[in-house]
Amino acid sequence: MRRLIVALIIVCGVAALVAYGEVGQRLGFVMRDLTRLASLSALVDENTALKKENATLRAQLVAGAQTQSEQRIALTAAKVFSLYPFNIKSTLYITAGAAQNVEIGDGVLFSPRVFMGKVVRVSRTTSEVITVFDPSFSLPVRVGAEEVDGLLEGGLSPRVTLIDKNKPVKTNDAVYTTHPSLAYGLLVGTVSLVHDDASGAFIEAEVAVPYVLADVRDVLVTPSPANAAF
Amino acid sequence: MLHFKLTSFPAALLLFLISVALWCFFWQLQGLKPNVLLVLVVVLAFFVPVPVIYALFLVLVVAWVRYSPFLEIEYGALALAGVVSFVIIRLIFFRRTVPVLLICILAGQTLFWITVLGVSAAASIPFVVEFLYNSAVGIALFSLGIWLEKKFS
Repeated sequence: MRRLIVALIIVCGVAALVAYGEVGQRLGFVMRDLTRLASLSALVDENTALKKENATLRAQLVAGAQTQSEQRIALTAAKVFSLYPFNIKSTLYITAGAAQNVEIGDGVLFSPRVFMGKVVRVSRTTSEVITVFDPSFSLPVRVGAEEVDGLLEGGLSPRVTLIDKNKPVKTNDAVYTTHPSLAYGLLVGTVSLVHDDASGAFIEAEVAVPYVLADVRDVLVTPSPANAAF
Repeated sequence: MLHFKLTSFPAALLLFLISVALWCFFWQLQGLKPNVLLVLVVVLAFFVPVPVIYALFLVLVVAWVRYSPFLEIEYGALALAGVVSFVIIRLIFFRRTVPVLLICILAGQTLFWITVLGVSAAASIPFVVEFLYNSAVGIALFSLGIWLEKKFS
């Protein structure tokens, strides 16, 4: 009985501390740091930075090919402080909110021209971002130099669907945004595989994105043209 | 037959700590991964004898899972899955066996997915894959709990 009482007191104490937030947060940081150490975090960070640079250069090429004039995109930098931890959705939480003029529908970028997702919920200093890996995510896109229309559908493996079978789409073609709620020509990724869809009436293209979501620590928020004040 | 001992409690506490470590590891992974905390609340229902202490564990788990600045339905779904497991074990099956564990995991996971995404979400391939992962983690934690319980008795 004494053992039970002592254990009960310990649990109550830990529950109070964790609920208070500080301890849970700090232990979480410690565990995250340990995990990152174990996975050679320096190399991962360096790899992410290189991917970001590479993706930006590639996106600039795409933008240059698709638009006549260079678009100026206003960007707000933010840190990623959390990822959605379950399998059901793919969202992340960033340190920019209404106080930084972030609004629902704003685009979230991995690098200045590489699209990651859209803001779906905003509080004063934080926002929730739905990523292209979320099963409910969809966005009109174009593929390759021929500007073939398609619909980007999110999921564990994002893919472009409803592509006309007679249009030329091949591996390594760039996939970029065309929806009016976002700046034109933001790079989503590149085509990694092309195949017929289940109905056989269209083709589908699997999309490889130039980043690993779990490794992303910094993002940029760009105002949706619909939200921007002109 | 269901037989709880006071020595179940230290086993439950250790299970909690081990699961939290596992959770931190899986959180970093890409793609489909087991829902360790859901499995934890189900497994804990097999080891914690007193409802009030189980409720405290649920508070701990929900406090730990806090990942967003917003009030999320997932927190409630997780606690609900735990309560349902606790009730299933005590009011329907009255025994601690692996099949009962798997039934509880399935019930908890179904409840979680339906609560968050709706009925159609439970009829998907990711649901089945996650159930397989959850079952593997659940059996491992359950076996560990039984072993720890014997160690402390």
